[in-house]
Amino acid sequence: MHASPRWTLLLLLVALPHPLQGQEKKEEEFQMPASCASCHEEVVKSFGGNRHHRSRNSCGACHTNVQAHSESGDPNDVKTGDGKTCLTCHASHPGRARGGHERSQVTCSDCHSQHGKHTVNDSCSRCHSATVAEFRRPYNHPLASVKCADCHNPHGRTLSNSFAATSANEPGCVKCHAPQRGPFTFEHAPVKQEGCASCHEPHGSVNPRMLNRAQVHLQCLECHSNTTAGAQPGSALPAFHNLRDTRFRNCTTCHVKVHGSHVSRYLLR
Amino acid sequence: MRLAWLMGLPLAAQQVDLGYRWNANLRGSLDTYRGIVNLGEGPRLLGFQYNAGTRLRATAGGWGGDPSAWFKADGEWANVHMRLDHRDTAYFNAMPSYANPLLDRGVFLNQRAFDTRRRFTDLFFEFGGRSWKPYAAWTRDGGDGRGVTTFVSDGNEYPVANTLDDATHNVRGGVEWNTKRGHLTLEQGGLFIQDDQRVFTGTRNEGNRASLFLGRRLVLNELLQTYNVTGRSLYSRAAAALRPAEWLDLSGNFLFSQPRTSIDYRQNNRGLFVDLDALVFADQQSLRWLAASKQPHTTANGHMEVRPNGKLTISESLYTDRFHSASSWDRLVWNQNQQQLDVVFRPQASLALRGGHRYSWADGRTRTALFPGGPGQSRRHTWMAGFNLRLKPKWNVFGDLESARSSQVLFRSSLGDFDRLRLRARCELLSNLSLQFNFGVLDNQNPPQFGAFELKQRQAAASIEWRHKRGNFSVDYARFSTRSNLDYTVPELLRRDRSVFRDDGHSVNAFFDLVLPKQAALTVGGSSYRSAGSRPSHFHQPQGRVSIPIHPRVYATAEYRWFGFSQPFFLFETFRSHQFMAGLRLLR
Repeated sequence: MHASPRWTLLLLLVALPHPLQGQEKKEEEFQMPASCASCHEEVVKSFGGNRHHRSRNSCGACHTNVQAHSESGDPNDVKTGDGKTCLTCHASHPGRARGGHERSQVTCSDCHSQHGKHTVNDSCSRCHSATVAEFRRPYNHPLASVKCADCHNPHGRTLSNSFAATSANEPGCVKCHAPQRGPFTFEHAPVKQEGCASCHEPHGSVNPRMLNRAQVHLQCLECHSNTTAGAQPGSALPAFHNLRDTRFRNCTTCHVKVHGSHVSRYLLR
Repeated sequence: MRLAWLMGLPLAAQQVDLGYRWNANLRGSLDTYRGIVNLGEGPRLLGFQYNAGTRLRATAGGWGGDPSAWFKADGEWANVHMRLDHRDTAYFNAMPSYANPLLDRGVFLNQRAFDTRRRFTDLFFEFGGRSWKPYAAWTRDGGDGRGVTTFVSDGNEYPVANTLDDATHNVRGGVEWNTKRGHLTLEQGGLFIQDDQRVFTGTRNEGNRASLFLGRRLVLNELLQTYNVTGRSLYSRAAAALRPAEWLDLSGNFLFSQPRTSIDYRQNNRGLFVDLDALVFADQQSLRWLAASKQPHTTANGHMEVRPNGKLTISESLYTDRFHSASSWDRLVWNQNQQQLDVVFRPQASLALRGGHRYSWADGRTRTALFPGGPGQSRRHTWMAGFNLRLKPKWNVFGDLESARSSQVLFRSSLGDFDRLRLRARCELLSNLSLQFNFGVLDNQNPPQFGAFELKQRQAAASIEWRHKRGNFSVDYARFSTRSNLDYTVPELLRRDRSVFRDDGHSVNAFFDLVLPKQAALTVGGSSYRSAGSRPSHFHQPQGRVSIPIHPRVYATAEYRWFGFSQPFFLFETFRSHQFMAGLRLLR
């Protein structure tokens, strides 16, 4: 809601036409074999804006049997490189084998455009439409500034549940939610052991703060209950927590450092 | 600008979208509106695109005060590849129904409210050619703002204002080495953490307690509470992949980090307070707390894939994640491991069948007696089966089934014994018509000794996309269902009760894009979400946009949006808003 005039002004200055515009230099054209360009003009055009046109400046670098295809004109003759072809250069995804995309035989070209100007299609929604619909719940992560790959690693994983591990060996959530990083003097164990999703719905929720439950005290009581004492961790609440009083039905009003505290064993400050 | 000119880059943007938004007739709860939508009035830079091929590309949007603003750029110069990602996100949250212990007294004050902005900047440089690629990166994530929190003392808690200011710098560098037979990445980095919070008040505050305590009114007159947290974490990462033979792939990851934090906490408060341990009253309290914690953290995985022939792939992977969070007061130990075997058989080029088994086990321990059950452990076997069918022309059907059984679970609300089914189909019926279906079920039934946690979730979604030279049409519908039951004990009565959560949601999203004569364009559509259950919600967002050329390189644009939100159990959070926007699109 607050205006940021500095940034707006700076971007407007960059955007406005400049008197030196006529001196611009034309983009270097990609040299495609004439026999390919004669039929695939659109591909040649878009390929100029792709990083591949510098590193793989020949159609045969990824496609095989090009000669037979150029003589016959039959599209079935040319062999389009599959994921293995891509991995000869892009071998830097060792975690890929553990990811769901590999198990489901999702190939590189299902998501990436090898010829286009944009390397990534941002095409997660083409398959994960139900997940995208979860973001239309009232409380959600804003898709305008948060991308799927901020939290998920489509090429594999080093942590469980497909969450992208940031370089600092942490779950991807703390990349933006830094105050919840810790380590804390007093940890709230589920945050570290089962992750944020043990209490939150990360895509979207009908509950405030994207919680899994409609009422905060039920979210907490499901673990902090002594119905099966001895079976699972989770302390029982003392009897002075009178749930008929709204003071005690809003647990996070007192337990303000519910993700972990540096000061209070009971996460009170 | 001079630098761009020196490098011979075009000096004008390819597209600029400017606009002015009027937020007319906002009715209902402003706090709720800001917590969910938060689009304000005024001039905006809605979009910006600059493209000079691979040498430099930049996009921006949302500047001028929108809750999500970003600037992204990437480019290449002389074997140097650069990426810049900057985001500025407003985080406002003051839902009147949340963290409000005075709601039954008719007070609509959220006592855990935020009005902050988070700024995230990531700058990445990659050098070199195809074999050796050194790289370096710097990331800053910071936030600042103000809010409302509670100062908690024995017997009462007081809502007070606070300020927040945190920043984390992440500096890292490494090298990638690529060969035809393998890959190696080595990386070293460091996190530098700072988090300052300040809570203050100078006015009389009687807190949330309505009654007297032993005949006296507990009250807060003055408070200054400061947190100063500093920390750092040096970390190392190695990733390797090797193909010693055409039928064998080996790969692995190793990460180690050791974050450390130290805190200086000070608290001075005046008023009337009680110490429940000693049962004495005090009119002043002072506290200073110094503490330090660290968390050595190791994560590693290894993977082997064997392809004895073109139709069969067998892979085995091992994964471990272990840390202990240690301070002078507490200790939390966590060791999680997983072993997985996958077999994929491809009887035909269009069909793949797969099966596998995953065994995961974890141990958690604490030094304190907060966990009456002692060490927490989980042991789970999961059997997996699935298929993938790819038929021409462009039929793709995917199915996945998991069945898990646990002998121990970590928490009462952990998934233990569950079955999960996912089906997905995508079909290109025509060259310009595609359909997609999604279906998913999760059914968890933990046995009574784990707390008898029942959770059933269903998702079903279908979408149609039609592309035509005169316009596009896309519509998708999704239905969600969640049913959860878990017993708990009411603390003051020691009586068993049940936590029940139900959510049945319907989501529809539809858009028509029409190309009108003379390059004018019209878009109408929007999304609607409606749910019933424990917290029924209605959230509707219809919208319409039109753009009309007024010059070969200038378009006039206009937009109308409507936001309507209501939750019948919390009618005081309802809002409605009409929004109009007029602007210009400048093309180069």
